[in-house]
Amino acid sequence: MQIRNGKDFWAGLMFLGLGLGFSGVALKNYNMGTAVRMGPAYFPVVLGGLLALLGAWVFFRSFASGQKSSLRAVQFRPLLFVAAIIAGVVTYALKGQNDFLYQLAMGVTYVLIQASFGTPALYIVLAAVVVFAFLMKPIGLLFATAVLTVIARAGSEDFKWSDQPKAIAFGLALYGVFAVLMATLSGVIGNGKAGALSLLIIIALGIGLGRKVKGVEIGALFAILGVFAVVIFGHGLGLPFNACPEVMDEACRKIGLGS
Amino acid sequence: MDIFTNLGIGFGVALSPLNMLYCFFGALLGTLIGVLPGIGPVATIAMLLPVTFTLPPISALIMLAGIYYGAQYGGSTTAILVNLPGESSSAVTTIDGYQMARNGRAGAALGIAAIGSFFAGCVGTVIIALFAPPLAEVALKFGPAEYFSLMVLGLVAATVLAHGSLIKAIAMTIVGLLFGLVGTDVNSGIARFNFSISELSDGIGFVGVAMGMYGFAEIIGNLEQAEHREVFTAKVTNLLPTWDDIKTCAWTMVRATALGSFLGILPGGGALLASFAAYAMEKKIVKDASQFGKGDIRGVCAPESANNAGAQTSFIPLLTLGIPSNPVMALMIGAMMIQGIAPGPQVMTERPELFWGMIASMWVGNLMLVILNLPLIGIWVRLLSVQYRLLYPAILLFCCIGVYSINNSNFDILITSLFGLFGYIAVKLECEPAPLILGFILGPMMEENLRRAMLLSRGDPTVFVTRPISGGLLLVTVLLISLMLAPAFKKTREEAFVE
Repeated sequence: MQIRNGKDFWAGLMFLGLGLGFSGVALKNYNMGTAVRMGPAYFPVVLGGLLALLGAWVFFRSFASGQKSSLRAVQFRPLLFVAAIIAGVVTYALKGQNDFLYQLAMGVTYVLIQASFGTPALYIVLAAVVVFAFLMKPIGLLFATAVLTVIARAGSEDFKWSDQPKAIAFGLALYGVFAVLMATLSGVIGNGKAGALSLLIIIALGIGLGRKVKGVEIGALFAILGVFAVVIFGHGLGLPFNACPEVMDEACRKIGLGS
Repeated sequence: MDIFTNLGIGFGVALSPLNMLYCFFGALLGTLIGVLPGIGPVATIAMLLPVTFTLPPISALIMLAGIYYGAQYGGSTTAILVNLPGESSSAVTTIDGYQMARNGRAGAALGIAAIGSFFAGCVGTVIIALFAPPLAEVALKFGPAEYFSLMVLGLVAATVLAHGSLIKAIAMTIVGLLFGLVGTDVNSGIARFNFSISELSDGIGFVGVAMGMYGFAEIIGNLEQAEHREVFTAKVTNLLPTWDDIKTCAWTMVRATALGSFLGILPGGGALLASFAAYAMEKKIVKDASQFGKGDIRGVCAPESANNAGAQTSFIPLLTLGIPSNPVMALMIGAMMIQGIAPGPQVMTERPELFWGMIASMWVGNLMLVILNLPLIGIWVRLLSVQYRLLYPAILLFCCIGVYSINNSNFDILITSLFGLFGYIAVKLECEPAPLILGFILGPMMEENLRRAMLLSRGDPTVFVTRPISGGLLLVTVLLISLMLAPAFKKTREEAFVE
């Protein structure tokens, strides 16, 4: 027996696993009921069974397929995957014990799962998203945006680590300008207008200086994005999130950046 | 005739200054996000949902609808000029559109895309006005059995039109249905498949699923194939296609619009499937298809007309049956619920001004778009000359905020990242994400209707066949399946999706 179609092989296994998983969990935990009064397990068991059958079909088809494709359809790193499972177990153990460590372990698990597959582009982008999800509340939108941008950009070809200290300092300096602008303007023309005006100034500064000074592009980018998100989504659309870290909440409110 | 009085009411609503403004704003925003690759109407509407609460219902719906069809216009610009689908429904347009731009005919391609879209938009509007009322009347007679059969038909139709292996597409649909069941079961109150994670007891948010599987997966795909992209910015000169171009395209436009409108009506249809199907059909039908793939103007006209027609008519199942046929329509249901309107056949009789106002606004919006697009093309082109490395962190951020804003929950962002991974793997294994998403949206509704139907029939499954409408729908489903298994059709289908 030789596997001829690697894609079908893995897809079949995936469907088989999902189908058995769903119907197994449903059978074990929920009530089937009857055809007249279906219980919560009825529909998932039927669907899961069907999915498992289709999965088996695709799986066995892969041994006799006319189309050939490599068994390595997606890059896979078994070591990282094992590490992810360990991290998952640790997370489960920490639940209810220590909230900070629990969150940390969960974040590590997510990143490890994603890093087990695919190319750098895949896991770097997804890692940036995971980190953003965890940091958004504690450190606020402005700084979380900075972290998201820098990590995500590490996935592109022209990324240079040596440029980052300069770029980050530049971006933070723009945030400083934004805070000063808000502090001076918000008392005079109100939060909304002050935000809009500051946003325009930050965009002009970011684009203007970002082009002139070498290596600060990423800083300019995250500063513009962060201020844009805070002004447009926070002020404009009224979506509820913190602009600044929780510890600085008081100071932020004073300059019109409260959540 | 009745329809004219109704449309009269509709235009009265749509042409009020306030609604015109929201329509304009929606269409403009839609074009903008359509132009930007990676951020689509789903993320945008998700972000705007909380805001719509403060608007009058009709204005909110007009604006959100404008975002959806505006995005279809905008997507073509990116496809033609950068060889990137600005919107997933413009993916086929890249084939011939980009080649036309390389041949120095970017202007003609953009022009024909706008004209085709406008024509399709007008026809789509008329079709909604003509067919929605009788359909709603039929829909009033629908019981749970009919709803269930209709959804089965929609899911099967979606798999027929998906690429690649049929079995895998069906399997992906079932995976979607199963993921859709995660969360509290309405009948028993038991939380299913939540693994004692409290955030999962409300279910997995479909915005996260859709954004992970489309949005993130698209960004990753674009980063992986980091080939050099040439943006045709300076070369867009003559925006109007020649008279010959229009003559060549006239019938293409009509055919593609007809196909797109039809596919839009099916639950599970909509803009994406329409564009692929129209391109494939056009390639089959025309006499000389040798230029397809090398810059044939019909290869731009067909998918662009079809996706706009599909985008318009996909409002029909929503407005008449309350069934969402794609993630955007599911969000529209959310927007209606926020305003206290239960979507379904009764909307038309109870809130005629809402229903007809929205339809009329679509025509108004399409007109605005075609007028807008010509002078604004310069701005979009400048936007596109921004490097992708600057663009994608912005798109990631907006997607994250969009997902977050639905429930103010960062857990949803994590879920989205997992579906980004799942979407990536699925694409690598040649499993289409589209059927999964439709299954995901319809899963809970389907189970609910199945249960009710079986309860009403006292456990007799023949009810699905013996009730005439339900039986008819299932018959069509069976016909579709047997058609798919027929060797001749199977071969055509494989050929059609070779691209």
